[in-house]
Amino acid sequence: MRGALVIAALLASCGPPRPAGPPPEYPGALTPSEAIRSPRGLGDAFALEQRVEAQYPDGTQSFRAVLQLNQGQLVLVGFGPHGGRGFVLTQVGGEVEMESHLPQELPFPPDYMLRDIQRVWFGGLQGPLPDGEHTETVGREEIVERWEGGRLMERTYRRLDGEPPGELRATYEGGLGPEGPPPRVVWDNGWFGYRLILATLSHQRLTEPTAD
Amino acid sequence: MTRFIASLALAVAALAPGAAHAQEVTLSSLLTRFSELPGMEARFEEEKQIALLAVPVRSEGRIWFAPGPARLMRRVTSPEPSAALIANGQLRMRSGERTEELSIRDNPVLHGFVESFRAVLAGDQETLERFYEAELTAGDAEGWEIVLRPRNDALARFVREIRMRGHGVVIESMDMVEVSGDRTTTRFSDVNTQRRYSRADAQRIFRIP
Repeated sequence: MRGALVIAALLASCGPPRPAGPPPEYPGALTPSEAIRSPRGLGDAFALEQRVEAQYPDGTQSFRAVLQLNQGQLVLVGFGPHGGRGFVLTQVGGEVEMESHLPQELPFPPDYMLRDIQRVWFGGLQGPLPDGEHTETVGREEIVERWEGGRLMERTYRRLDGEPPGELRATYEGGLGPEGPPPRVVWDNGWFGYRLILATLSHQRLTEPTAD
Repeated sequence: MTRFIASLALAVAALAPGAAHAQEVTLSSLLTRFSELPGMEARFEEEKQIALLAVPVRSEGRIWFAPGPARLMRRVTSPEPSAALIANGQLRMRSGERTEELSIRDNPVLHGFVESFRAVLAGDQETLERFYEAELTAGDAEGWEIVLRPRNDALARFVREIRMRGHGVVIESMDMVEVSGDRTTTRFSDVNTQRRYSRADAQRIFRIP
């Protein structure tokens, strides 16, 4: 998900276009755990406002964003330096749309972002799980979760064949429980070599209209 | 008794024909008054309604403005501290431990956003009208509303209109409607239009490390 970095960079700088190469390939073959799930199956409606800080070898960028799951739609809005929309990523069913007000086209498919979002917030093992470490193989990936006090503290994804090497790791500082997100989540993407620090600014449960 | 007579005389004068005309606010007269202010400080509450989001995004904080050369500082205190300083054609921003700087003049959209507010506070009609068609409607008791519509295409792709409302030289609210349907409403309170900055004040307030 180098895309998130490019977005962060563009949002923060709005400066001259950076060199645009061909869109990066997602590393390795997609596994079932990477399949983008429909928002309908992702749980209760919510709106989560965050400060996203992206750290990567070339530097650090940050932007404010809102992730919302509501009425069968998953939406990520990233705000630009002027305070308005920088980009909007929308998923309905299996369809993904990207609306960008950034000064250049994104050099990556927007569904890469969704894969990170779903791995952090909706992926992993079926919980809640007893305290301790739990490991399962899903497709060609090993997923490890560490639970403490009834809360998810860490989740890692690793390819069984080591292609690509390294792992993806979400660290939930304070733990992810049923009441909502922790104050901070650190997402280390060892496949693309970057880190996202997601600081929770606000979280609201939304009431979806009932179907009569 | 003398005070009573003086008050009565003022009241009569205010009701006299021509008095209303003499006090009618125009864009020029209002901006001239702004240009004469020593400075401004206010609290703000901002609510941004994004068309796709069910709940608005809120911020609050404080702004400071000093003329000649114009400097505008916006400090957000909630939900997370951040700061933005507009001075010398640059936008300098700080969030967390990170500081970055952009050239305003190199970015027509950002330039337009900045000037909608800065030019009004500075009483800079020429700049304001370079970016916007500005229309002022006078209200009661020194009340006014300015509607700004972008002149250039780059800005018009983002902003449909900006409405500012106030009384005298006090800006009370600013409402920006974007082409996307997003709306940002900023309400100002504790507005001090006689804010003077000592050298030490200015160095402390208009500064982002």
